[in-house]
Amino acid sequence: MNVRHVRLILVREYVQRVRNPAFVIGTILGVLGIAALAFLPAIISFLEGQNISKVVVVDPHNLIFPYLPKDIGVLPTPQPGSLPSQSGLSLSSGLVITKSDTADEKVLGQRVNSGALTGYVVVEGTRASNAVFAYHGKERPGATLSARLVALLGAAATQARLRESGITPQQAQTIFSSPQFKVDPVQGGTLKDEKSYIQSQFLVYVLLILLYITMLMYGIQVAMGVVEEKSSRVMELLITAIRPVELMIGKIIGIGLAGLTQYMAWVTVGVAGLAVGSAIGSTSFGAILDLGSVPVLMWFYFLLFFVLGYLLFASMYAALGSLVSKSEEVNGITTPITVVMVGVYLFSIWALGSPDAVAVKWLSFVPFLTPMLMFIRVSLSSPAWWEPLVAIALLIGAIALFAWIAAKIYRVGVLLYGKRPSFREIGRLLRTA
Amino acid sequence: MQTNTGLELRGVRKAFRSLVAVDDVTFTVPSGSMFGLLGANGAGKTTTLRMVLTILTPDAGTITWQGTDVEKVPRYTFGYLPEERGLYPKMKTGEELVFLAGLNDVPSDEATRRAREWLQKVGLPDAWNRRVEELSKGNQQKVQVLAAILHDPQLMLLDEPFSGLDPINTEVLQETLLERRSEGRTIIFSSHRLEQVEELCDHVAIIHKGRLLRAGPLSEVKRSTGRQFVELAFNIADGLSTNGHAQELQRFLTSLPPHVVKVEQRSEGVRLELLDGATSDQVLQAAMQNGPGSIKRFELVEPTLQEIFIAAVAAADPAAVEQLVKEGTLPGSKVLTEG
Repeated sequence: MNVRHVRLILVREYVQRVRNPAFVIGTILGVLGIAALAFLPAIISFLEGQNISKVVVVDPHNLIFPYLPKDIGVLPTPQPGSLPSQSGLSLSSGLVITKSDTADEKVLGQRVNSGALTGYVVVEGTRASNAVFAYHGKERPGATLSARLVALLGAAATQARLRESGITPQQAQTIFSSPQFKVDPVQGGTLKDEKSYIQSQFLVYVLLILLYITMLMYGIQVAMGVVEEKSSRVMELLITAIRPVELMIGKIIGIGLAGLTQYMAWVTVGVAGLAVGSAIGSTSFGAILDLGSVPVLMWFYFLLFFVLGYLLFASMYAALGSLVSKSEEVNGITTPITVVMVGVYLFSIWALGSPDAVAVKWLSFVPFLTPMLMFIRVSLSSPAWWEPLVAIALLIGAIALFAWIAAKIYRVGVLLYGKRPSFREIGRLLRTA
Repeated sequence: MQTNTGLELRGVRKAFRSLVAVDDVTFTVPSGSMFGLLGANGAGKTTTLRMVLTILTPDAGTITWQGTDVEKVPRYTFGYLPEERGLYPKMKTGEELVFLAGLNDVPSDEATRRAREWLQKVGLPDAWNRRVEELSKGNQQKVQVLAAILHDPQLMLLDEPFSGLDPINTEVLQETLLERRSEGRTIIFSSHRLEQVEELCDHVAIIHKGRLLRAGPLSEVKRSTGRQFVELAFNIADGLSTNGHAQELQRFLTSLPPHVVKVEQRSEGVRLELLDGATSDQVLQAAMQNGPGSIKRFELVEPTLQEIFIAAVAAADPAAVEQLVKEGTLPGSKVLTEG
């Protein structure tokens, strides 16, 4: 194989693609979309700040007031008599619940009508055990508001009932605190710590989505590129000058690099957006995900499986693309790969939750599934040292096999115009060409 | 290994399923020659060229260039103008030429220099920064030809290079090809336009339905038929087709010996074939005695390539000739149906 030829094809493929107005527009739209997504939390909280639901609670018999929590984020713990009558409860950025300063329903009704209040809740009944919460408003409360009210008032009512039954707050706390659950390694073994486990899981998820999108977007582009060369008939010129395998490899890598360029633009904007978001305090996403602590080996596997997965599927797309001669036919003939892709994706999502399942173990050696499943296993489980090596060797073998078949089909497919050949015809052509 | 063997095809055969596209074809294209590959549509010309270029692999037989199997010959040795023209339509002309030359191992600065020079030469100095799809069909074809020759290949294979070109560009291309040949390059082109082949080529091969009918130097192919023709022109002011002259011409024709046959009538004279021992002297005598005017030109000539082609096809496949004439692939070839 002539590296110079591959480079020429690769550079042409990359430059022509990156320069294409459709590519530029797509990248920019993607950047805008990602920027919007990254700033979405900030935007939402800004919008919610403009639209706060205010609800007051009237409790004529002082049944539950003593048990309302001071603020959100702390589990409702009974603090009898310690709440000042005007303390507001900010349950979310868009909802404020306070105790009412008046029990006069006429006044409250006016406030609701004037828009000063969204609604008010009256605690009816004489004992906590038979209390009814009655919501009054101009409109029915939305699902979020109802849920918040029920949770808040329900917790306070429960506390009040326990008190009525003679159970002290200390006793209640003992009864309701959940038993501790911890994970320990077997004797002489080690476990990944929880933080890195969650990060690995996240990284696997990113790889799944990245591979999946890459396949669908750029795999199709590989097939399209092949068909374009056929329909413009420049193919015959190309394969007289260089070998089909050089053409195919250059094409796949060139399109892959164009795709990476697009990703780079998107990832840069996304990361910057999240960083800005964290800085202005609208999102805590950056705090959950400290990617700096992901082991170098994981990054290595991440890149390796991404590249190998792309190569495997792209070579299949290239081979199938060379069987048709019009771009309208590309979708039809590549459907089998898409179906395989979707299957792999769904299975991988399941495997993410059960990385030690026997099926996952065996299927991680099947080349189509290796990039995702073996990455899941090395990240979330502890396969024997030889298992990733064998799977990667099989995957590379499969890529070589598919590339070889693809180059063969490429060579004969190039001269196939018109009717799509049957698989028997392809077989025959592969033998004779 | 001799250096002058050029391209050799021996017993080459290629079948697509039950259709035999090329059947046991053997011929030699000497180095430095201009070789015409003749045949009607579907005769197997393109398949033959594709096998030389190793796009297709022969079922049987060998193809060698300078004694080496073409599979082992470096690709840049060949320059190809496919019958189905095709370039990347969205690429700029200059870039595209440099790219294609690069695939044939020409360094990019050298390719750039040559591409500029050639675009200038074929009258497209402004095409460099324009997309190929923006050029006219004729100009696209010129670019396509440049793509085939920019890397200065030893052997050029041009499939129907003149189709779609206007007379001026045809002239430019012909000159270009002759120039390449004078620099020792070998050129094969396929065509069904026989006058052009006759004008340019020194060697020809005629194929029909995959079979080789004739091959060799043009002069030899002509001589080997053993056929002789006489071309006569008379001094007549207003052409032979006018009434009075037509009668005189008829009288002259009937006075000819029995084995002389008229094959074509022209404005000032006729083209006659001498069969079965008829001599040119007999014709000359008859013309002097009975011609419609004094003799302007009298020439003993060899058959045209077209006559050879038709005779060869007719001998192998009589039904095919009529078919070819009907399709219009052989303009003005009523010759045999009359003879």
